[in-house]
Amino acid sequence: MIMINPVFFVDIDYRFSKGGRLKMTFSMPVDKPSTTVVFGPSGSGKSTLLHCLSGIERPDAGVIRFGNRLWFDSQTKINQAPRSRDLGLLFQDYPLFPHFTLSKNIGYGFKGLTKTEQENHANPWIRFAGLEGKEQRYPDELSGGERQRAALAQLLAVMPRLLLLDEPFSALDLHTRTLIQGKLRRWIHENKRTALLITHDLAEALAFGDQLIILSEGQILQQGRPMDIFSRPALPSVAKIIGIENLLFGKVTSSEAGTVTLAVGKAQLIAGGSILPNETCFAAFRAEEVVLEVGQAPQSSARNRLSGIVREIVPHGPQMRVSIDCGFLLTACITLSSAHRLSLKAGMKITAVVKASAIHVLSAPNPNQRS
Amino acid sequence: MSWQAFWLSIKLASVTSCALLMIGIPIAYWLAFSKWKWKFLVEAMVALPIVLPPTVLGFYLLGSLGSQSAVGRIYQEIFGSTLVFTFEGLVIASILYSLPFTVQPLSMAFSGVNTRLIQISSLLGVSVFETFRKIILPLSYKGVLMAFVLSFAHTIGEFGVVLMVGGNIPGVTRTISIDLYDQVQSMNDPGASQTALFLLILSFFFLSLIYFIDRKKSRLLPRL
Repeated sequence: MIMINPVFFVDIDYRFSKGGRLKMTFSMPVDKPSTTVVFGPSGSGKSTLLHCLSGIERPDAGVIRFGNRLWFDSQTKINQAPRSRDLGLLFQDYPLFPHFTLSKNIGYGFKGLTKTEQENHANPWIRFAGLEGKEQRYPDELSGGERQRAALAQLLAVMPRLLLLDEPFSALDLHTRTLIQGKLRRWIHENKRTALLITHDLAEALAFGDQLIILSEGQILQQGRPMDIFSRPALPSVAKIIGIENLLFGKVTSSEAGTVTLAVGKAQLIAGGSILPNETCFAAFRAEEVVLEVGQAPQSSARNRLSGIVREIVPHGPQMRVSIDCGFLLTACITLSSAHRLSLKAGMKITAVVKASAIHVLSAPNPNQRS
Repeated sequence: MSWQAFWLSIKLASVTSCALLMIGIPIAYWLAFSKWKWKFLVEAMVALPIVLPPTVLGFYLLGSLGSQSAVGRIYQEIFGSTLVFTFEGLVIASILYSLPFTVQPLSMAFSGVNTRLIQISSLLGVSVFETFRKIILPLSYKGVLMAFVLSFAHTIGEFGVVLMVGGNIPGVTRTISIDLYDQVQSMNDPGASQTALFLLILSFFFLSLIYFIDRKKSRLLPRL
């Protein structure tokens, strides 16, 4: 069948019973493999979005159209049941049927087959999930990570056109996570499927998504390619959500030829961009972009050198988060070995160096508003 | 104690409970999952036999099944006997009288099944009926057992409706509860106390069974 409309189009308006609203519009291509990642703080409506798309919840108004199939249209009162929509949904708590073995769970979607045929169909998916040898186990005999993989395999086994995944790797350790992510990406690519994935993990969002949607309080704040959003967050709230640690409030003092000078506290920052002088703004840059130097440094291309005192050093996985007081608080993120080499200690004098190009200037809409 | 009356009661309770499972499951399913705003009226109707005086039910049943009624006459045409004062008439009366004792445990059990599991079954493309058969029903097995045992016990204990609709015919409609009434009326104290004690122990047995099934941590069948 030729797809006249090779697009998954979503336009929904959902009102929560306790107040609050989810209102968003977006689309994804369906004629080629595509993954969209939905990223946002808890309570932003991410799970509700997935439930609305699957037909488990009903939006108050809007349209949901997958290619040529109209799944939901509030105006013509169309609302297809979940079983009629060709999709798979992985819930945040990945439930499995407690009275079925792993094999029976994964083979559940296959109809009209004998028991042996069902098992045969389930086996490749058991291998996909890395659960060989556990076919006869019941869900309460599996670990959380095993159950999550099983639930994923269960829905993939019926080869749905659209995947809706609510934090599908949350219970997996790093090694298994990388393995399953790779397998899933390959499956999506080989079968030209469309996937919408919710995650809290920055790295996952970057690695997985062709498109990134930043959701907060039921509204899309920004959507686009992950790298674009990370390097150019459109709003301070977006920057906060994706975890840009340094968000400094200041005022533009001068602007010329693609660079902007800002007054932040008593310091001066030079950033790339163009905003009119006397505008209040936010300077946003990631902790990873801050280089720390001890003592006098030779000539450097970096335009921003701020002297300060180390306030706090906090280990953060394989790295160290360093808080520096330069008149305002700066966060730097450096490797453990670098911290050792500099003999970093709280209370010592340090210079924080940031390239102008790493600082993104966001206009603050209201001088009294801080995010 | 009359064994004939006892076996009649057992027969009545068995037939009634089995029939009630078949009738009750669709009703309970609808009550558990329907979102109709007037559903509470149906729930009230189903619950009527719990509070209605048995004589009221008996009166209406006599009226609608008796030889003057349409149903009664059709039955007489087909089967050659009246519907009232027969075992068959008692079965109909018992089904109505014990209906809530089947429907309520079933409905509670069905609505107690994790909604997510039903949703997952639907998302995997499985039909409503198959979802009921493979997921809802097995996970509600305790409710099914309860429904059977409750309506069985309740039917054994019936008196008023059975007397009005059944007519106390030995071997046909004289159940054990009616038999005890007769024994008291005819001042047969040894017989009466034997029957009463027997019924007391039987009822206690049923209730123990019901509460045993209902234990929070009980797993009568593995994996369910």
